[in-house]
Order: sequence, then C-alpha cells, then structure tokens
Amino acid sequence: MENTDMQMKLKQAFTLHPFLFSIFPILFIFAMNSQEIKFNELILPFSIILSLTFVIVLALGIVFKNKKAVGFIVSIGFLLFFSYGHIHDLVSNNFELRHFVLESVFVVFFVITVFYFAKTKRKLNNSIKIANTIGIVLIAISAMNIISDNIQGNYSIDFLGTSENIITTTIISDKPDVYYIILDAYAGDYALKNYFGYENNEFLSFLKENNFHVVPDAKPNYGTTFLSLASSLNIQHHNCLEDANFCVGTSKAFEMIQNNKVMKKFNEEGYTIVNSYSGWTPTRDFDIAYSNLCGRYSATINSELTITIIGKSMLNPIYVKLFEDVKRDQVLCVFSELEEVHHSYDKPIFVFSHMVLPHHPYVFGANGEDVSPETLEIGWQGLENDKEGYLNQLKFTNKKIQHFITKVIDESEIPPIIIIQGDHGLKSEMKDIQNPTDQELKERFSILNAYYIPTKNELLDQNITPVNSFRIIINELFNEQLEMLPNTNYWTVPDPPYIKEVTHILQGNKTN
Amino acid sequence: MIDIQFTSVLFLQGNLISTVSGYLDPSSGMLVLQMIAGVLIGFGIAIKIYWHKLKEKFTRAGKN
Repeated sequence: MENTDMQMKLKQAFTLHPFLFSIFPILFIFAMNSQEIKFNELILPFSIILSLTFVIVLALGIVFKNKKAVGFIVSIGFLLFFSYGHIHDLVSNNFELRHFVLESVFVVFFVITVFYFAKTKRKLNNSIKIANTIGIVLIAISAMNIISDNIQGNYSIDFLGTSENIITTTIISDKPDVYYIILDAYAGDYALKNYFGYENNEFLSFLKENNFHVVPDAKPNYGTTFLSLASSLNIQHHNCLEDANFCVGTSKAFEMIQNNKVMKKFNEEGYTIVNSYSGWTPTRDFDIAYSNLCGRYSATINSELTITIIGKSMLNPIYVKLFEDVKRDQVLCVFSELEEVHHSYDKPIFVFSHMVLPHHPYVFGANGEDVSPETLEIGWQGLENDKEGYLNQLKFTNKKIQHFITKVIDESEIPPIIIIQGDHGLKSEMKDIQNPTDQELKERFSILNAYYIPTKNELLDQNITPVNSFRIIINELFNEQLEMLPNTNYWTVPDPPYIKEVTHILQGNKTN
Repeated sequence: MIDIQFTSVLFLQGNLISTVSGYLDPSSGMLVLQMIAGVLIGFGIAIKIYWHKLKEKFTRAGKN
C-alpha cells in the first residue's frame, strides 16, 4: 500500500512553474541587457520575487481546495502582471490605448482564470508538466543568451577586471583639484538654436566671464555616451574598422570606461579619485575611486533594472510616481556633494561626475521645481514629444552648474581645473540610423565643451574635441608631451562598415 | 516538433548585432515573441502527451 502511494506521488508532477514564471520577466530583461546590468543586481529581485511566490502559493493553498490549481493562478498572475507594460507599449505604438481599457482586459482575464481553476475537478498533472516545460524552456533561452553573449566576448560588466586604488607617496600638495563634469546630452549652441530656437547666451556668458574657454561650435568624437566616454577617458580614438564588435557592442567600451587611463594617471600622480553616482552602470562606481558621492542611491530601488521591470508591469501607470523622487534626490545630492567635496581631502582630488542631465528623464523644471515625466527609463527616445522638458532641465542644469562653479572657484585654495562637457548632442530620433541626414548628424554632434584652466590663457587647440581634453590637462599638470590627436568625428552604424567618419559633414556648422 | 519549435525560439532570440545605445532595452517585442513561442511549445507538448488518446479517438471514429 505504502509503495503504491509512493509510486503515485512520484508520478505526480511537481509544481515548479510559478517559481519559473516569477523569475522569467527579470531574467529576460537581464538577458537582453546583460552587458549593461551587473549580475549581482539580480540577487535581490530574485530573492524578493521567489519569497513572494512562496508566500502566495502557501496562502492560496489554504484558500483553495485544489492545491495544483493554485500554481496556475500564480503563474498566470505573474505573466499578466509583468507583461502588461510590454504589451501596452507595443499596442499603443500603433493606436491610442488607455491604461484603463487594457488593465480591465487583464483583470477580467485573470478573474476568469481564477474562477476556472477554483472550480475545476481535473487532476492537472499533464497541465503541470506542460507548464513546467514551458517555464524551463523560457528560462533556458534567456540563460543561453547570457552565456552566448559572454562567449562572444560581450561579457557582463561585473566580470570586468577593474583598476584598484593605488596609494602613492608622491607629495603633490601644490597641484589643483580637477573636476571632469559630463552633462549627458548637453547640446551645443548650434543644436539649441536650430532645434529649439533657444539662445543659451546667459550661461555661455557666465562661463566666459569666469575665464572658461568655451569651444566654439564644439563637437564630440562619437555620437553615443559609451563610445564618447571610452574615448575621452582613455585619450584615444577607437579602431572600429579593425574591431567592429567594439563599436556595435558595449562591453569593451564599458571595460575601457571602468579601467580608464585618465583616472589611472591621476591616481599614479598622487591624486585621490572621486566619482559621483550616475545611475548608469559603467559610470555608477569605479573601483579606483576612493569615494563614490551619493553612492547610497545605488540601492536596488534606484537601479535601471528595477525601474524597467516595474515600468513594464501592471504598475506602469503609476511607476513614475514611485521612482521620480529618488531620481530627483539623487541629482540634488550629487550637486550638493560636488560643491563640498574639496573640503574633505588634504590631497588634490580628481573628481569625475557623469550627470544624466539635461538628458531624459525630465524631472526638474527650469527653477528646480518637481516635474513628472512620461517615462523614467534613460534610454527613452522621446525628445520630439517633450522639447519643453529638455529645455527646462537644461536651464535648471545651468543654474546648478553656475552655483557649483562659483562656489568651487571661490573656496579652493589652489584654483581648480574644471571641464564641463556634453558627451553627445541632441538625442532626437533618427529615421535611418545607417544613413542619417546631415542635419541629424549636426544636431547629434553639437555639444557644450568648456575648460577652466587658470594657468593657461588660451587652449593650444581652439577646436579641441574630448579625445584631447586630458592630453592638454596631463601635459599642463605633469609636464608631459602628449601629442594632440586629430579632432575627427565618427558615427557608428549597425551594419558594415560599422563606422563612418563624419568630420567633413560637421565642418562649418552655421545657425540657420 | 519540439526541436523545430526550440530552434525557432533561438532564432527569435536573435543574437544579431544590433544598434546599441548603452541604455537598457526592455525588448518588448522579443518578450511577446518568446511568450508566443512558449504557447506553441506547450501546444506541442500537449499533442505529444495526448497523442495516443487522439490517435485512438480518430481510429474509432474512422471505424465507425
């Protein structure tokens, strides 16, 4: 009798699928972005969702008589909950779809599901086998994608070997603090005038009055953040023709950012490296940095992974409200700490701050007032829909940067070196990325690029691009003789030849 | 049948070089495709499990 019972139990399918379907949406986002997300960011979401699933299964098991049906209610519930935002986005791309309508459809479907499984008399053993297999296959696909990405060399960012802080005994107390401030998507005068009809004169005049050298008609060397920063922080151009994967994938550029030559050089010369929390994985923290300003915001609640998962769930209509304050506080925290950080060290500091400003999400009005954006994901390409949002955030950025500059210059014992730079220009939508129009390129390649170097009246190169920024600074501070590289500009494309030199197209920008 | 479906899903996964921005991509289209593929796989397994019953049913219907 006991043997028969045991055999029966073994034949019964184990209800694994609720746990598989609960982690699938998280693993899927990770698999699609494994180069951009740190693996350890998965630990907390997995722990939370698996614990939650366990509790729900246990609780519903008390309510429902058919224990096997509970698993299906939970699995279908998770699938509906986490796929809502994806389906809404896909449908609303084609026609207007109100959240109320789609949420109602999802809720009705779920209620029918609950009703069916609450009433069913079926044993459900075969259904459990089918659901388990689907769950395993979905998980396996994502796992294979992660593995194949790593095999192809597009490894996850946390598998990179990173530089460590070197403690030097060099006495360099006579050296100035150096601030490298990257304002993401801060467009230059050309793009602001042409695209928005906006004159940024007040801010540019402030910079000039404070002895900044503002590069006229400034351009980045590359049109995307990861290539631009990998180039400027390593004082070199990228050879995409020889290594196409470098420019069309992100992992190698991310590695270059994390292990950049500039921070290593300053560290070796005795500087203390300080970073500020950016929210974007490659510049969020550096092992070489002694301090990570506002690093407390690096909690899971503020990770891009969490925002994307929640933003694509049934909480989509309210997720902006959940996270916008955190975004705002993080930016204000960085500005606040940047102004004070020079008081914290006896040794000179090299401060790198990548600020996702005036880049979307637009959470600040022109005077710093709270604004609720449509979405919070950094990758959103919605500039066309919210020109006012961009301009207002740019005006707010100007005010905060002016305050920072005034305070730091006034309070520093040795006049500091400050670089304020956009990594690329306008992030407006391109109709054909492979063959962008000249106008689209000119707007994308128009940036702010300003230098405060008190020991130099003029820059050697009036048309300097970011690849040469630290060649000048390193020569000036450490008496080196680094040659200036050509101020060329490159646009990377998804298909061969993967990179196009666009220097000739960008020359001679004139405001219409 | 499962093999064919599985291969299709891998194709849908698309390990192709795509335009990269360095920001997170929710890949909504891919998620929906994978879910559809999951349904097809489930359908395939259901046919495999119930194949004998279906065969028996059709055979009887044919005899009658």
